[in-house]
Amino acid sequence: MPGEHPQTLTRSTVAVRSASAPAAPDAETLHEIHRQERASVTGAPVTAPLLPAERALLRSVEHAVLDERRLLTATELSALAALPDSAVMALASLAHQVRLTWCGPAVEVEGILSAKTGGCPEDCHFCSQSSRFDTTVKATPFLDTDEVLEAARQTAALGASEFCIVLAIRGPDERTLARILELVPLVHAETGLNVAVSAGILTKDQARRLAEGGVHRYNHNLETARSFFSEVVTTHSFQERVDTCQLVREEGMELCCGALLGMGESDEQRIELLSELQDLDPTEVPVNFLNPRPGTPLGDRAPVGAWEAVRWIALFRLALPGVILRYAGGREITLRDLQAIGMTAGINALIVGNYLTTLGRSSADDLQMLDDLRMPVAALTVAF
Amino acid sequence: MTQLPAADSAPAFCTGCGQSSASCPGCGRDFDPPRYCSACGRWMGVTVTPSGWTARCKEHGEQHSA
Repeated sequence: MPGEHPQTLTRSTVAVRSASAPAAPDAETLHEIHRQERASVTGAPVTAPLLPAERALLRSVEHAVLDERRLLTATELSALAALPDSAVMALASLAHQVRLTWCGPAVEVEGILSAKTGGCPEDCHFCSQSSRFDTTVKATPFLDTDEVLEAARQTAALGASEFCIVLAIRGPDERTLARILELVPLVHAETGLNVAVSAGILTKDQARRLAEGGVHRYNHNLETARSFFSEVVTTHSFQERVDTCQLVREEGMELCCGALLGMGESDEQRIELLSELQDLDPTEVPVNFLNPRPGTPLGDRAPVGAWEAVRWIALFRLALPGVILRYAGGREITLRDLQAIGMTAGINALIVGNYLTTLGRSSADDLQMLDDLRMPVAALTVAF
Repeated sequence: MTQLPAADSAPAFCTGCGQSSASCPGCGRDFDPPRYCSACGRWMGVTVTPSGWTARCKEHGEQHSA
């Protein structure tokens, strides 16, 4: 076979592949074997054949997620994160199989709207809407009902099933909560869309009222690892975010809890975040990549590389096999022409159209991509 | 309120930073809506929606995405 690694077609490999339970060494051993092998292939092209230890690692992970149907451990995820770029396509292929097995082929499409933009008192270092940074995004009033309904109609016209109303606030005061509770049934009645809300930190009573008011899903991102959080947010704690996420679930709303990659966190911290997400067990995980905004403390950071993004999309899927894993902000500048590869690396949902303060690529391009990939658009909920 | 210049005329101000076009040839990034009026350089309130954007200049009124 042209280009095949000479060690691939051995009798022992075939035997291992046909066994129901691959006889792979434990993840820590694999990690060490791989580290030694990797040292000899530094700079390998992304099309290089897999090394034996890399194949063994992928087989053991496949067995764990598809046959045992268990969550991967941090040690296993760490070994996958250390695979060389030459293994990313194989990692993506496995993640795609996991997505199909756990979630099916459908893709959920969502539109989002910043209904109250800018002037946020929090200091999230990645965000152009913080009042603490000198950015071009200034405080603007809550949109009126007609504007919100028109945005929801635009979203429905794009074939979406979900519409998220987002507010740049620490948490809702009584007036804001009342306004949200007024809008949610109106949007649902007008468009038939499931309505999600993102309005910051909640009290238990607020979470209950939102759930009773028809909020289908509540977004509250962890963004990054607990150990890195204070590097990028100082005005509230990681635990406050966790607490709100738990309240959302306790009060009966679906939890949408995402990540923002590329703020300077380490691979280990990304895995730490994945472990936190495994514990929180959200319905949806939006994956954002940093779009460095001028005027923010992270404004000069380089975007995540495309290949690194594909690797971490795959890792998110492998770590969280049953979630709705959504393409969110930053994919246009991070993945560029590789956005379709992300769809075959574990993604099964996307935000179409524009984001909160920045523009997305054409929704027609996204829908054409899904059509070309033969991925049907449908509403999704918790995987079986 | 004055009218915006014709669409085919060169913008007088950068829509990314509001400086005159003589000092900034255009620093607005891909995937960013205009933040400053191309006719007067004033900051604009911008609403981004799933299918477009609307920017409001105090002097020149509303502008919309194509």
